[in-house]
Amino acid sequence: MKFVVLGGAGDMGGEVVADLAQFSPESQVVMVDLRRDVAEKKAKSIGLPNVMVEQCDVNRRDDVLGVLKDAKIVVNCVGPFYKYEKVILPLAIESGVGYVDICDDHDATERALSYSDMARSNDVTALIGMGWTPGITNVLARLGAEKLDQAESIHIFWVGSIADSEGLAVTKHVFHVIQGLAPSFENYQWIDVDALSGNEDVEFPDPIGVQNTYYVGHPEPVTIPRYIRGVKNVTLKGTLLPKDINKLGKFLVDTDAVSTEKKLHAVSEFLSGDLVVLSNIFGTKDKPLPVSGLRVDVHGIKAGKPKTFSWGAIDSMGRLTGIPASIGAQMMARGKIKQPGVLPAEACIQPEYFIEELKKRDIEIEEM
Amino acid sequence: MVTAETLISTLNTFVEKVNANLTLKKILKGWSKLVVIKTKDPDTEATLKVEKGTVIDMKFEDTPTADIILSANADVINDIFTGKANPSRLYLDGTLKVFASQKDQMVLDAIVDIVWK
Repeated sequence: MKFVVLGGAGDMGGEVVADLAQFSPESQVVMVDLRRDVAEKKAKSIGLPNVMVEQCDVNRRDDVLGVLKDAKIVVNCVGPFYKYEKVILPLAIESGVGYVDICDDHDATERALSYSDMARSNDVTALIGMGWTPGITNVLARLGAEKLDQAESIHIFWVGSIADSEGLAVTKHVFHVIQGLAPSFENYQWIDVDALSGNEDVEFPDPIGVQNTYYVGHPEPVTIPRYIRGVKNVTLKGTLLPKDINKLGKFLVDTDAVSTEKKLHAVSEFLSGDLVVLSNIFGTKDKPLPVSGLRVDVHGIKAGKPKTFSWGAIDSMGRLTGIPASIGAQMMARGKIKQPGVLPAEACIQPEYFIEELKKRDIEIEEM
Repeated sequence: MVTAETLISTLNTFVEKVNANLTLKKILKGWSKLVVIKTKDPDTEATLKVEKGTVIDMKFEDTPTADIILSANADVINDIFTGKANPSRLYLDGTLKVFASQKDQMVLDAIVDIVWK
């Protein structure tokens, strides 16, 4: 069986490749990236015989179709997803290849859902947003809903550290989701809220502790109300470490410094250029921990009484993102996800199985 | 001036502290690297093999396949690993030379910070 990982030499894609190669040793795992030298170095560091390297520019349609030939499943880790989801997802469907991605942009997610009929027609399963947030968060939302008689409110929070990620795509994603309007689901309807508003202190697992979060544009409020019946509220808030870096983000948004793709690209490239300097300028009071985290609170009714389930997890952003995508791809390969269409995690991932798989990789879901 | 014996003792103490630190164990589960430390005055070389956030081996020799290389004068390295100096500041002013990805540099910075907090 052949897995293809697009963007496989990146921060997230490398984790997907490593996990697939380790946990599906009988399979061939093809690390596909624009940067052959980086990919070869990363493949060497993974050090497993079933990892191959191929070069591909995902902007070239025929090249993508070429690497997808004979593949059973493609895992798309090429970000930013607001730019590349619409390029790669239709090609996977056209090729009849099972698809998994880590798409974390709300607008790209809405667009991806619109390919569902096309996926069903081609008998393709496309599992979207299968990272940490969205991904683990969606599965925990489903777990909470399954434990309740009726889920009423699902509140999702994340914290991402600049000391825990590198690469242009992550920086671009952050600027994309902290400006303009963010989707939220409140009182049974989708509304738009101002990104960077709605500040709320939230406790994450140790050692992250309490952080001040705010609305950001993310896929969870877009997909969860479609699959968890009767839910009244689905909200999502996030924040960055160190705390003061959030002020820089707000300043750049307020001054229109990232309001067009061209400006956003230039600022992201500049900031990604020296994260060590950035970390020292903004982390003088609180040095950023090299770790990221999530929390999911599911409120509802159980046996006629109000009940809340709260879970959290922390780890490196690469592991939190790449491992769920790999588990999703392996579940699909083993026939544990069968229904065709474009599906988020809460639509097709059985929570207990998934959490057991995370545990095998030393990612613990903590009760909060 | 720092002697080779002092440096060895400093690194041994630092490794013990890293391996006993539960916070580091929790946050560095996915961090496996070969770290080489090179000093001048006196000339020494040490290789730390880190597996999932735990230092599993330390040898006082160079390793050409290192993921991370730190180099500076022995007194600077000694100050960093005894918590007396901020490694990222020393890196920014050129006193400490670091060959590593940005992410690994920030992880190293955090390790020193957490150990000596």
